[in-house]
Amino acid sequence: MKKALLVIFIVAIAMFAITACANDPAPTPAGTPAPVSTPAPTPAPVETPPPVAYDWQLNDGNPATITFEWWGGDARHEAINNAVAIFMDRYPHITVNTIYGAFGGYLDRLTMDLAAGTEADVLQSNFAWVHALGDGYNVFANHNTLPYLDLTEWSDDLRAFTTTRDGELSGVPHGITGRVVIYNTEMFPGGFPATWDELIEVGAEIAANNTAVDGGNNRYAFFPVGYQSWDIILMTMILNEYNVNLQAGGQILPSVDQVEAAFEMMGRAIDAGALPTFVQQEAPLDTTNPVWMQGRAGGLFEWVGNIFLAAGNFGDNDPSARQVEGVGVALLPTMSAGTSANSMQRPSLVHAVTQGAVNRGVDHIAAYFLNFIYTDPEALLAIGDQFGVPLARSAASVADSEGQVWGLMADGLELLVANTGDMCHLFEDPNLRPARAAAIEAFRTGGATAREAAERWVNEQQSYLNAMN
Amino acid sequence: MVKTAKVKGKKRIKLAPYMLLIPWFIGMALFRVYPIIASFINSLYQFQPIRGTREFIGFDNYTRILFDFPHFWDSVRATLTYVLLGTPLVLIMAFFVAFILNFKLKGVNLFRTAYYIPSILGGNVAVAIVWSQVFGGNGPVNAVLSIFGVDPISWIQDEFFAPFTLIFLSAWQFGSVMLIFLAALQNVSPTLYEAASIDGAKKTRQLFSITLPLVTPVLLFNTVNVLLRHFQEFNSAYLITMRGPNRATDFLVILIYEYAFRRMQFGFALAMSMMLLLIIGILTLIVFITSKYWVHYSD
Repeated sequence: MKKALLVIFIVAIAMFAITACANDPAPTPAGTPAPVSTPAPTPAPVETPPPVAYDWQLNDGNPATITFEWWGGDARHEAINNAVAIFMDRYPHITVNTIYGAFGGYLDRLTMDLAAGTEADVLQSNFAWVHALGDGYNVFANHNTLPYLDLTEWSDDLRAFTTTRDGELSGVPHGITGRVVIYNTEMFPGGFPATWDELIEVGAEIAANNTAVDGGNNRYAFFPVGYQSWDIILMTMILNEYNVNLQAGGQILPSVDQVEAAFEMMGRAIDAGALPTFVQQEAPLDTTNPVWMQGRAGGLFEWVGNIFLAAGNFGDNDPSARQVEGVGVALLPTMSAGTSANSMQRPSLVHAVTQGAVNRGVDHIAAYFLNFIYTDPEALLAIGDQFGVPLARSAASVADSEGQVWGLMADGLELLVANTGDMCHLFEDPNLRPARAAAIEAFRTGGATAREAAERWVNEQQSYLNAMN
Repeated sequence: MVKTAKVKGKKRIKLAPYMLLIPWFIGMALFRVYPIIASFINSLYQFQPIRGTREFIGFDNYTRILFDFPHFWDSVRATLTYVLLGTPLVLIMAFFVAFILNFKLKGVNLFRTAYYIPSILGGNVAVAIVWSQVFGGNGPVNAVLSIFGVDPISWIQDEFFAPFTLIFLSAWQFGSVMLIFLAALQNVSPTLYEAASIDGAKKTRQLFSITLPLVTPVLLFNTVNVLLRHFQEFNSAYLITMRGPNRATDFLVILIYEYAFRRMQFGFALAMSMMLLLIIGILTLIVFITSKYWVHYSD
């Protein structure tokens, strides 16, 4: 099951496409549905990794120092530091300095470092930043030309559709992720509702006893936390119902009418009590929200990589263990019955050698180090599943043999594989996302009608796209 | 012996004081004047240091802010609400507590320390979490209000109440302002009160006719300091209300930060910084100009 799943995952992810919002298709006017096309699958080889070409005299045996920066939690920090220690044991003349911390503030620090020219030589990046920072910014090295980096670890399609910009490869993707519904099986013993109408109906029954305007001990059929959840929910509703992605060729594709319909459906769910109002949804906006932890929510909407975290915080489950009970995984409901339910997916993480490393003349060492953490068996064992489920061939092979994908995680990945939808590379752009967030917040707080929110959603993003082009 | 220099053979200037001031002038020039001038110059450019490009666009960034960027005015409104309500509240709270703690009370030092502690904590993450809980839907503030039959208020998620929640937090951290007031109050000569008592002035009259006029120089100092501090408030809005709801707490410094370090529009962010400098300058000027009518210097 595990191995089969991973093979399917890798092959299916090779089909991963962001062609619907790629950089240079012919512009499509807003309101004209564009097909979410999928290129022909190109199966990536998954067996027999090539022998790693170790260079024991890396940098001609001369001492050198590089810096590696990432974000994550304590477990990831410990794992990666162990992998770094293995590298430095192997190559004692090379020093790898590490910078790590939480995700919050990572981008801010990164942009400051980039502005000052003090960025790390190898860094972990978000998918969107590769495009937002990289496009014309001269931030990342062209990985197609870096020595030592074995690009056959990643399928051609995967590289082409994730981290390639204008023919240059700006980094390598670690895996693919998407959000899924993690639901309370006690509240939904027959599975999570397949359509929003069903969810609203069940939600109204559940919420019949909700009396607290500010939340109180209310129960909800669905409790997405954080504005990113609401953002992706709205876009997924549009994607599934109208088969349009965010943009193509600098044009926002969903029409105001389409976005308004999605807002109206969202509003109906809020009015029925299936979703919380803005006031009812209190911090903390993560999997430690008491509504979810106390079993008062029918479901959360979380990244598949956070499945164990979300499930571990539910009810009596142990957050540190992976034996979880009372939770299942599902896709978001659709607006119409019979419509295919897709999950918007994107690379979970990207690792990249920076242009700074090139400028400092250590790009060959940085590339060697990057290749090391993706291919060295000892390093891969040290890292374990701390970056999530990998797609690179050697890493996937180790993840498979170590049984890193199982249980709820495997269920979630299966859903992603079976229901591939693509997240536009501009979806998380730091200019577009706040525009959508403001429109959604205005709607949820009653500051805008569905129509007004939809107009803001479309027009503000379009004006940013116009400015960018 | 102080070295002097002869100017035009007439007057001798003492050099030593100027020499001693040089380090301060260098610091001021390097870390205050130069950044302001450089910021203004760069605000005239489409300036993206990551890309390494600087394209001169004149005052385009400023015209965009003034005529084509309503978000800026939302932030100005949010910032001014916070500053104009928060500054007097902090000053009143600080003066009131300092006034009480100026009496010879039992255990007064303990109270002084207790009131100062919130200022030490500052606007950090831990305080933000505590404040979120205190003002949460099921938090102690609503619990107390419910005793009086008041329905729960959404202090953080409601557009009207959210700014006040942050203003309360700033007012809670009045300790350092209070200490300065306390020092000023202790400098008021007791003989003035004795004389006023003999003349039949009651405590209220003494407060308004003796105490307040004598501490107005310190009040001016505190007003300007608190005003500036409120204009620069970042943490509470960023951590507690997350700039919302509907930009009700989206203060200017956060907006500037966002455009510089998230959207990478450095020139535009610098232009907004210059606008903020102008707003602060105007308000501070108003305070100083009006001070001649309400500040009384004893000498």
